[in-house]
Amino acid sequence: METAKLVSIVPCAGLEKAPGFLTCYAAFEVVEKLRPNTTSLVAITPLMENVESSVRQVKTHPVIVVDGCPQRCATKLTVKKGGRIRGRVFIPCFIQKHSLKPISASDLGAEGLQLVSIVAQDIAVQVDRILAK
Amino acid sequence: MKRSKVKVGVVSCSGEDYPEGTISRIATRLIIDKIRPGQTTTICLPLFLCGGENERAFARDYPTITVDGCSKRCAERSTRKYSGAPAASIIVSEIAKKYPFLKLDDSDEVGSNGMKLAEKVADEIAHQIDKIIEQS
Repeated sequence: METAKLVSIVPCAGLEKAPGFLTCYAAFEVVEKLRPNTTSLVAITPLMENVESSVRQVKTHPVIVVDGCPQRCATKLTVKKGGRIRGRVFIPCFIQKHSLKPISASDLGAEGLQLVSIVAQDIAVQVDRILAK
Repeated sequence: MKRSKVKVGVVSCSGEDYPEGTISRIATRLIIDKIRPGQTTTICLPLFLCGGENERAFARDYPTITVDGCSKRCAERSTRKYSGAPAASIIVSEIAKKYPFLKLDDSDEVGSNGMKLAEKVADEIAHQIDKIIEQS
């Protein structure tokens, strides 16, 4: 059964490209600063490797997936592990909508950091909406 | 058969829920961007896990170093499962034991200790890359 007191955030965390890296920063921003008491971070690798605590987290709490590219790995893996996705963030849409582009994976740059903040705010709004239901 | 004189792949764990996972990612980017650019590349671990054929073929055909944050060794296990044994495996928490004065906190801010530890991890990755290239 879902416990709607906590929302799990699953960023794709793709290291190869800037949007993947950005998903991590945004997720950190939410879990550490914006909604520290109502969210928890789930890393994708232990989830795939069936680490019990990670699988339990996506099965027992509503999930927001944060994908960096059209492959949508965070979404696919969450579904595969039986997670219940209640919110989604797709970074390319934010890049397009706000005309802000991160420089690279190792240096997001000023626009990238601004984007982190915007994405994090969006996730926080989704968290509140999920918990209000 | 492994092709010689090729790039070395570095696969970092994405364990964002531990500081060591973040260190593994930073160390990997240091290697790719600054310490061994041109000699190394990284693959997208989420895509690799999702079944990306190019990612899996790369780790099958080229020597790969896995960099894990903790003893769960998720990056190593995944690489072993889908592409074969990595050429070398590095665990950040093991390296951190050698430098107890570089204490990490749980914050997402890596801080100066975290950056210093990332540099130590990157040094170890570079050492392994040199060994692999020497043997190829």
